[in-house]
Amino acid sequence: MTTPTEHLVSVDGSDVRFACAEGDTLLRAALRAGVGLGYECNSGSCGSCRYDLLAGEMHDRRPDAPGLSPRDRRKGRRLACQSEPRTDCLVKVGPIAPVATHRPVRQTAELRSITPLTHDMQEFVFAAEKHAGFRPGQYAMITLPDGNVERAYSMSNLGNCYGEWKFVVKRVPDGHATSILFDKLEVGASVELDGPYGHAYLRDKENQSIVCVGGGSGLGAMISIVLGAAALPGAGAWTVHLFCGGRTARDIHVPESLVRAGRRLGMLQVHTALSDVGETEDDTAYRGFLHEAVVERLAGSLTDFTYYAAGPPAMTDALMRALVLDSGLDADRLYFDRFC
Amino acid sequence: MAFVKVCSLDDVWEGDMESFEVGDKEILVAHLDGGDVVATQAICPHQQVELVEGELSKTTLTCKSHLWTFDLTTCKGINPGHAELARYPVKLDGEDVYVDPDGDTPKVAHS
Repeated sequence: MTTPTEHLVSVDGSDVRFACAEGDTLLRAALRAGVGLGYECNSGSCGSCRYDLLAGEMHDRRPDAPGLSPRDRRKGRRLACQSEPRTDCLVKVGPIAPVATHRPVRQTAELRSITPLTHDMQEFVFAAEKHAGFRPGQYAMITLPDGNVERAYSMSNLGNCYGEWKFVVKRVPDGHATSILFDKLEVGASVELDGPYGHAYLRDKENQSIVCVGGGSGLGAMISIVLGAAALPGAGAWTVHLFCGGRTARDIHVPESLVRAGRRLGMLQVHTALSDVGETEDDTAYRGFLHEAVVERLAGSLTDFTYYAAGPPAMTDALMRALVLDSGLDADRLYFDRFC
Repeated sequence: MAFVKVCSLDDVWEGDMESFEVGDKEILVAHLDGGDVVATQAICPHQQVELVEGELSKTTLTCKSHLWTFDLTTCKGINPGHAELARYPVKLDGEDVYVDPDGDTPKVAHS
């Protein structure tokens, strides 16, 4: 008997069927087939891709994934992003939407350059075989060669036909993946790149007054969104506030490309927030956390904007609470992908 | 399916909520301050998140995931205002809570 290389997934209560390659996950196979299952982090943390397995055999990549609550486990719920079909199977999922962006593609990419941006932030440029199809603000899964570690990183450039994927990454103290990226990976090395993923992409038909809030490695996604708005034919009608944060001034990097973007946009204002109290030469910086900077700097007009955010879960969570609960922003006018 | 006994008021105290499987549906029973009992969908219309893991404060239910809020007296969205929840008919018989799971269908919202 030969091992089949694909398994057929059927969605209960519908005519939807799609093939899942051996070793691929239920979620990714669905998205590759244009079946828009709900999800956010694609990493087992957010719990947005819960589903029920009705028939078939499924391998769980991460049985202890934080995205499932004890209640979910009691009810036998699973995460589509951590499930690898081992046989044909029947699943019960939430509402299915069309995949609104490019369908994710898995491909090999070669590291072309590394550029230090700050003491702990670098830009990594990869070249892949196929065109780089993604929307501003999306992310890709990168599997590093050493130790088979996979992480989600946001692209910091714009989609292009020459296969260039740029990432701004901040080193995580004692982080396994970033230590490989920063200390071991050399120009010419190959990684596996799978993307795009994510829903926090620039809505170019919506509100033209936007606020981008980027913390840590989330800065890259926000750069992409600012560049994306600036590349629109009607860029002159867009008002953009970009907030970036760090502990001290040496954590802050504002890329040169934003200066050019600012000339095309109706307005681009860059705000920095520094959370460490102490001496600084930058007296234009807000002293405090990013979400506090947003609330204070935009006081009086907070609800005029649509928000895009990326960064550590504590930051996006604090921002969501400040905007939605305390300031009355419409809950669906804040776009970010939850990683917790 | 008509009215089905889902739980007793002793299972869901005033100010509390609990989710149940009723027929092929997952239903959230909320016992509001003041005594009203409301039966609604157990999963947020936004994403696959259990509303029972959110917060019930007076008549306002807040989903833990993206802080969508609903007024359980009407089952309409407070924020965002376009959202809404299913509202299943409820009958009380003494302490017993009966719900008609065919009285509505779970709502879905995309954003």
